[in-house]
Amino acid sequence: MNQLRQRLAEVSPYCYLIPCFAVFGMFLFYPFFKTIYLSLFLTDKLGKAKIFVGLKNYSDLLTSESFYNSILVTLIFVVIVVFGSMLLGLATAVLCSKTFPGIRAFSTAYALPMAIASSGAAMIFKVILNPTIGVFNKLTGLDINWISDPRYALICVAVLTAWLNSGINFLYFSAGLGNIDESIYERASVDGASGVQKFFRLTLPGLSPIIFYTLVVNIIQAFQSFGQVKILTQGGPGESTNLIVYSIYRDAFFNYKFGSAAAQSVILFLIIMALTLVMFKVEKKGVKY
Amino acid sequence: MAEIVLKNISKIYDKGQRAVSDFSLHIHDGEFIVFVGPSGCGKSTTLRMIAGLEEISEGELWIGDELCNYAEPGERDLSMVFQNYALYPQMSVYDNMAFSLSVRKVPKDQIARRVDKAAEMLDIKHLLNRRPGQLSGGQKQRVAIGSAIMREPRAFLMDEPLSNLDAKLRAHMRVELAALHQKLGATMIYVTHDQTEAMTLADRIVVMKEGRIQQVASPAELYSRPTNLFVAGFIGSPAMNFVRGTVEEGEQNIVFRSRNGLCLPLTFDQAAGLWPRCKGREVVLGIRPEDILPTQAVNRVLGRMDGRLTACEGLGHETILHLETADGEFAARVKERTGARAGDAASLWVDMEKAHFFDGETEQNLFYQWSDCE
Repeated sequence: MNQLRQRLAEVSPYCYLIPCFAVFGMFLFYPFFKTIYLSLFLTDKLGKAKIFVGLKNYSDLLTSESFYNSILVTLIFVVIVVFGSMLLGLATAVLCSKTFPGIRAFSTAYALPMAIASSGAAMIFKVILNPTIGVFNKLTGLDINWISDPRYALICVAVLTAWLNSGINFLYFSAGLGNIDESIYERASVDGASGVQKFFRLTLPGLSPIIFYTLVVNIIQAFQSFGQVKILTQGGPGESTNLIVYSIYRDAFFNYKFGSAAAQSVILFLIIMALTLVMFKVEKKGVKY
Repeated sequence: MAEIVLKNISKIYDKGQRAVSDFSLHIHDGEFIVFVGPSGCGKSTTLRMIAGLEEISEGELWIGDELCNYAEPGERDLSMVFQNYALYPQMSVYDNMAFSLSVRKVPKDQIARRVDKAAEMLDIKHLLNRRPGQLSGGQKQRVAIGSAIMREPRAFLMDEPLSNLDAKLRAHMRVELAALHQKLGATMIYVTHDQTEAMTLADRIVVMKEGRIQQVASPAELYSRPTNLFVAGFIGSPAMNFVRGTVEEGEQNIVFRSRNGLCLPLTFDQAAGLWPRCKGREVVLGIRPEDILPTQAVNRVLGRMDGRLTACEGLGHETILHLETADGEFAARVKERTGARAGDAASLWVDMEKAHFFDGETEQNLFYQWSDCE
C-alpha cells in the first residue's frame, strides 16, 4: 500500500502535464512532424502521402527558379516590413512618451492597426490604391497602378504589412520607454545633452532588449504574412509578390502538390530557426542592460 | 564657480497650487547651502528650478551675472547629483563619468585625463569598467559625484544624495562630501530632510515649510536662535520640548505657568522681556533636551518638573530620559549614568537660562526675529 502511494506521488506531477502536452501535441507537434513526413512523399489531391520520394521534393525546389524568386521576394518583403514597422512603432511610441492633451486619442490611433484583421486592411488598401477611384492617386496626383505594377506591388503589400505590425510594436516600445528611468534624462539635460544625443545615447540603448525582442517577433511575423497578399495581389503581378507562405498555399491548394508545399514549409522553418539562432547569438553583443 | 541669486522665486502648478512661494536667497561663491524641511516643503522643487528641470513661475534666477530663468539646463553650467544617482545603466562607469564632457565634444585624451583624476580622488579607479548594475550603493554614489565633478561647473546641486545609503555609509559619505567641498571650494546646494546632514555639512541652512523660507542661518545660529516654533522643533534630535502656558506674577517674581500648573521661574532678562508684554497671552516655552538636568546645579535658575519616566534610552555616552508629566512628555539628554528605570517617579530640572519663548498665536520667537534682509 505504501509502495503504491509512493509510486502515485512520483507519477502524479507528470499527470498535470498531460492536458498541456495533449494540446501542444495535437496542434503543434503532430502538424510539424506530419509536415516533415509529407515533404518526403508525393501526395494525392486530398493530401495523402502516396509515393515515397525521399529528398526529391527538396532537390526540385532547390533547382526551381520560382522557389528562389519566392525566397528573394520574401527577403525583400521581410526587410521592408521589419524596418518599416519597427521605425513606425518606435517613432509613434517616442511621440507618445510625453504627456500632452489628446495623448489617449493618438495612442489609440497608433495602436489600432494591431486590432485590424490583415485581410480587412488589405481590402481597404485595395480601394485606396485603386488607379481610377483610389484616394491615394487623387491626393498625390499620380497615375500609378500600384497593385498591378510589378515595380510597386511588393512595396504596397510590404507597407501595408508594416503599418499593420506597427501597432503591436508601438505597444512594445511604449512599454520599453516607460521602463527607462526619467531621472537619467534629467541628468543628461543638466549634463548638456541635446535631444538627439539623448535619443541615441540613452533611449536606444535603454530600449535594446525590447528592440531585440521586437526584431525577432517581427521577422517571424513577416515571414508568415499571408492574408494581405491573398487579398491584394494573389502573388502577382507575375511572381512579384509570391511570398514563400503564399507559394506554399498555392502549391498545396491550387496545384495539389502537398509534398512540395510541405518541403517549402520545412525550408521556411529552417530559415526562421537559423535567423533566430543567429539573432540570439548576436544579442549578447548588441543588447545593453 | 559663481554666485547664485534667487529673487522672489515661486512655483505655481496648473491648478494654482503653490509649491514654492516668494523664495529669495543669495548664495555666495563657494558656499555650501543646505535646503532642509519636511517632505513636500518645496526644497527639491526649488533645486530643480535652479537646475532648469522645473519652470520658474515667478521671480528671477541669476547665476553669476546671467538671468537664467529661460536657459536650458545644459546652458546653466551646473552639475547635479540625484537621489537615485541617475547613472546611465547601459554605460560603464568610465562612460558615465565622461558623458557630460563627451556630449560637449571635449577631446578624448582630455576626457581620459579628467576621468582618471576624478576617479583617483574618489577612489573608484578599479570600478571604471563596471556597469552601474554591478556596483553597491556607496560605489554608485561615488560614481554619481565623480560624474558631477568632471566638468568644474559653476555650482553643484545635490538632491538627497545620501538618502539611499545605510546609516554607517551615510555618515562616512557625509565626511567625504565635506572634504570634497573643502578641496573643490565649489558652490554647493544640497537638499536633504536629514537635519544631521544639514547641521554637519552646511555653511548656511535654509529651513523650509510649505514652500516658504522659515529661516536662513548657520547651523549654530539655527540651533541656538530659532526664529519660530517650527524651526525650533525641526532642528535638533530629540526635538525641543514645548509647553504652553502664560507669564504671570508669582509670589516673588515673574514666572511661567503651564496650563496644568507647572511653574517655572524666569531669569531677570526673560522677565524683563516678557512682562508685561505677554501678560494674558499664551506663550510657548521651548527647552532643548540637553538643557534639562537630572540634578540641581548651583548658580543656575532652575525649574523643577515632576513626573514618571516612561523610557530610558541608554546610548552609551548619554541617556535620553522620557519624563511623562501633566503637561505631556519631556525628553532630557543626560550625560551621567542615572540608574533610573522606566516607571520610576523622577524630578528633572529645567535650565531656564537656555529656555526659548514663542508667541502662542504667531509661533514667533519672542526674543529673536530672523529677517530676510536679502
